[in-house]
Amino acid sequence: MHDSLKMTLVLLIIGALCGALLAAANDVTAPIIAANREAEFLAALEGFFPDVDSFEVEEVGREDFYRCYDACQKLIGIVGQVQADGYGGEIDYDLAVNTAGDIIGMRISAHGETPGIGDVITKPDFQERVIGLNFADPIEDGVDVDAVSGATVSTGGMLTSIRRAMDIIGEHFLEGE
Amino acid sequence: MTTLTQEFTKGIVQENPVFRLILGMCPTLAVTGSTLNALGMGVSVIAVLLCSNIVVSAVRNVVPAKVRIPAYIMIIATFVTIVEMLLSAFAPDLFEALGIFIPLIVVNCIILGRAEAFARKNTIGRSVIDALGIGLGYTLSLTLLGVIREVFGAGSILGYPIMGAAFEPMGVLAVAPGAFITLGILLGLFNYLFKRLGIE
Amino acid sequence: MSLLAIIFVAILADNIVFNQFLGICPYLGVSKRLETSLGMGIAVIFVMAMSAVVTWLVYNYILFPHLVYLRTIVFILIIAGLVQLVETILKKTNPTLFRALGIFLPLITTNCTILGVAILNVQAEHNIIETIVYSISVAVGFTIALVIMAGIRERLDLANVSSLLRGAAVSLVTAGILSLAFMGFKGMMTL
Repeated sequence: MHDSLKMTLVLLIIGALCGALLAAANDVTAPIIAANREAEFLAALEGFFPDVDSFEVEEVGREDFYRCYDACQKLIGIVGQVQADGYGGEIDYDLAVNTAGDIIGMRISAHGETPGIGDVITKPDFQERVIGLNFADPIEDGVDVDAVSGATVSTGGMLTSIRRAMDIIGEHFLEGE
Repeated sequence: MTTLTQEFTKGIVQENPVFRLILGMCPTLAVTGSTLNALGMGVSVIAVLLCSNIVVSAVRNVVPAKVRIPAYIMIIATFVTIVEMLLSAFAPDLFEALGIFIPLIVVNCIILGRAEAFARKNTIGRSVIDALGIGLGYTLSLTLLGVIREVFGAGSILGYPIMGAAFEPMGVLAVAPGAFITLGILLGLFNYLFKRLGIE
Repeated sequence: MSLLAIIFVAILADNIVFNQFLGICPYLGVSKRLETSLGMGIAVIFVMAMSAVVTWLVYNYILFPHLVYLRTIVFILIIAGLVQLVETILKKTNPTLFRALGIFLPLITTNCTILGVAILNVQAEHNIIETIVYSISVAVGFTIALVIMAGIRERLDLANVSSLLRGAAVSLVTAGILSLAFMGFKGMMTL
């Protein structure tokens, strides 16, 4: 009896100490992590819209869309953090669209595409095919833009996803602007 | 009684966690696609191993033998979470790259193995030396694998291209099969080396 | 995201051993004989499904959103406790099953697939159904990897392998070739 009491007590004390230590560490690091994340978002948004001053997040489905405002609180564009189905899993990327509905930039943030084949999606050649398209364009493989031969799964997946993201942006964010 | 120097070097050579004990293989394969990630993982493991060895050694006369494993697991998990928070706060890129393998340091057999086999029977001083030796052995092994895979798989080292424009990277080394095959061949090479050096 | 896609990806395209590098230690250690691999696999399926449900519930109803930093420590304690519990219950109620699976249970606590999948489930924001399907599929993928390897190992033991490569080294190279084969499943379906 005495033994099991001691065992429980020791475990409880260790557990409490660990919990307290973690809570303290969390108190110190949590604000830094949050600030990092916000700075990172703002820096990424500035890459697309140099005049961006503040942003608002809205979740559509499971994806986040950022409304970007300039210093006068005027909407200058939308950045979607969206996903495409690639060859090696999901491709995470940012798609920037100005208020006229033109794609002005994209940035792949994470992908599992085969090096040397599917990773053309990260190269300027493929990105230039996409930049400048408007959400009124069809954005369809073989119609107004081509998938890269040899990497049709990766690039075709991207095109499908861009079309879908453009529909969301057009419907939720640009209508009535 | 082994000297402190022996205690330190055993982790790098005779008891090298990767090439001799074949422990902690998951991160060894998973994060060695680039040198930087391999180094980052190694340093994280050193930090956790050092802290857990110190604490386990310090409480070795207090914790009843029957409940020592859950106690050690709690201690290790605490330090792993702290490392996770620090990386997330001060090295967010590395944190993203190492991903799930940071929380999984908890179940890295090396850490619990050293607590069980060494720290609970030895003084704090010796446990520190042991943690540094084993941790350094692990980091060196990971880095070696990372350098080989990055140089031949991507033609760069720590992100800087070194192989010249004519070099066609061997993409397979950067992906999963390359990890297994490189480690398998290295293991064979080290077996040969250890045999020649007469270390059994 | 259809459940069928989760099953396909978790078992084949993103096989936990060949593609995600989890559970390598039991993979190298246990897969020496076909029978033991199957036993280990079944034990893992059982524990994985249970621990995934419990950790999911605890995370979403207790830890989220203010105590998420306790995730790792709480998950590993839940898993260790569950393994202990299963061991005790099996011993008392079903000694036959206990004899078959018993030796594998203590090994499972340090099997990184269990903690890995618990964390992946909450990171991917799976709902409870997706959690159950994903966890069982991953464990089935693990079992398949183990069984394939055990079959090869039984034959490899008869082959003339250099003494330097025997054991872990040749197993790793074999795993590399298998992983290359499993890469073929990528691109057939994605999540």
